Amino acid sequence: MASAGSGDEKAAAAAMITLISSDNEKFEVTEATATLSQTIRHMIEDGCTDGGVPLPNVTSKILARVIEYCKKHATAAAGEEGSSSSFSDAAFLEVDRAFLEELEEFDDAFLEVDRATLFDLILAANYLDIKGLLNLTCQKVADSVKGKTPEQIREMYNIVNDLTPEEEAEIRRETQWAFE
Amino acid sequence: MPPPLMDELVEEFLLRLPPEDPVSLIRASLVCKRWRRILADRGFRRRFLEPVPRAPPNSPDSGLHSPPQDSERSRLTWNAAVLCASSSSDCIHLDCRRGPFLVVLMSTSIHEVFVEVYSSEAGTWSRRVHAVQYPPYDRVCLLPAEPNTLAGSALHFKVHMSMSTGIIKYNVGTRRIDYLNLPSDCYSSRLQLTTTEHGGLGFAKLEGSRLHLWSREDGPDGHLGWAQSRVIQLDKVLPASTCLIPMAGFVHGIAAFFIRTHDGLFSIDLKSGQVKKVYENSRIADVIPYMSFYTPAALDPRSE
Repeated sequence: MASAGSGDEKAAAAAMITLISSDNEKFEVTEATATLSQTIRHMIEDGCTDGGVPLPNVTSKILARVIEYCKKHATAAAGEEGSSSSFSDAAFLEVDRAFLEELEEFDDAFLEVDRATLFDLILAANYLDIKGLLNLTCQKVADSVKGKTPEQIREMYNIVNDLTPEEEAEIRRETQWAFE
Repeated sequence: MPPPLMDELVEEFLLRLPPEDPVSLIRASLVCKRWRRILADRGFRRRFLEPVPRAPPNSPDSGLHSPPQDSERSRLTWNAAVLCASSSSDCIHLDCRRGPFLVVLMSTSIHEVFVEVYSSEAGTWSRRVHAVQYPPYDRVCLLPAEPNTLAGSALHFKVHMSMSTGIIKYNVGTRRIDYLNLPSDCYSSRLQLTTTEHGGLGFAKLEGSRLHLWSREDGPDGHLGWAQSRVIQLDKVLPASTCLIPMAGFVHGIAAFFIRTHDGLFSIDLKSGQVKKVYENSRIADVIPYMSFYTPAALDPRSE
């Protein structure tokens, strides 16, 4: 039974899925890459991916980046999986340091984008339910906010200050220590 | 210009502000009404204290009193074991409390497991070994008070996911992390890891009044698998009126079970089958076995 199961997985890994962006561009990806997205995984399980998967919320520019992320992380996982395939019920993969560093380097380079793209990636990661990408992009925003003043944060993310001067003064009075 | 994000996505990145740095939270609450509303929400405050995946810490710290990346770890679940560091197989671990030791610390974020080992001889923490759940489908949690089990050269930790329970195995020698599935009808958190009389891994599960013992054995295809090794009819060995509470403790080495009942705590010796009432009170949360005590004056001949 175990061997039949792994055979199926190999066949599934080779299957291709077509993703269609909001501006109608088509991307061919392996199922292993596509299924990093829980949203697409569920569509595949429900058998509704024939003729391509339309993603009306994701532009081709962002989808290309998302696929780049999924390819890297799926390849890494598949390679590691191969190395531990002798263990029939290994669902956790041991990851060596070099591999981790390579992924971290990839992620760091991947995040070198402008803030508008970063937010678009967050929206796409959320819509496609790619937990790793959502974590990565949200952590990047959190890191960018760290140590900044409210004014700097508003400027960075183009946020209008809608607190009344009284509200703002009151909060600042209560939390004076945070601004010293 | 960045596109607008829904409240739940603003919450997602605000959740990742460092918990040890309240200044960031306060400053963020002054950005606009929406951020302030999200940060002040009770649900946010609860989630902020729950484990969320964080960026992996960079380098292990040193020193037993400052485990690596304390601030990161405050949001992870964990479990730990102290092992005798004697490489000699002669050590029977009854009086090695003053000898060199290892602390094996296992922690989790949502889809990841980390292991670091502290060596009392080296006085440092090892590099962390890391494993990811793939596909990442469920949150992985360890419970700190739950006993872990050393079988062979591997430590076994029970790990809880929302729909199931599994075992994470850490081989102390090879530093390898593996995940062991439980038999499909045993997906319950109410089971107890055990060791078999040959030192292999096993577990016990209470079903009604029967205690089912399973052990991990070589299957016909050479792969390790689970086999049910024994069933103990507790209603035949315990007093008739006894009502069982589904919790059992297990003492490795002497193969004794502790069964909690409304009539008190009973011990069952697996070898002899002998049953003893060891404690009257049934209001016990956990049974933690002590195999020996650290009594330096009594044990160290040099101090006499």
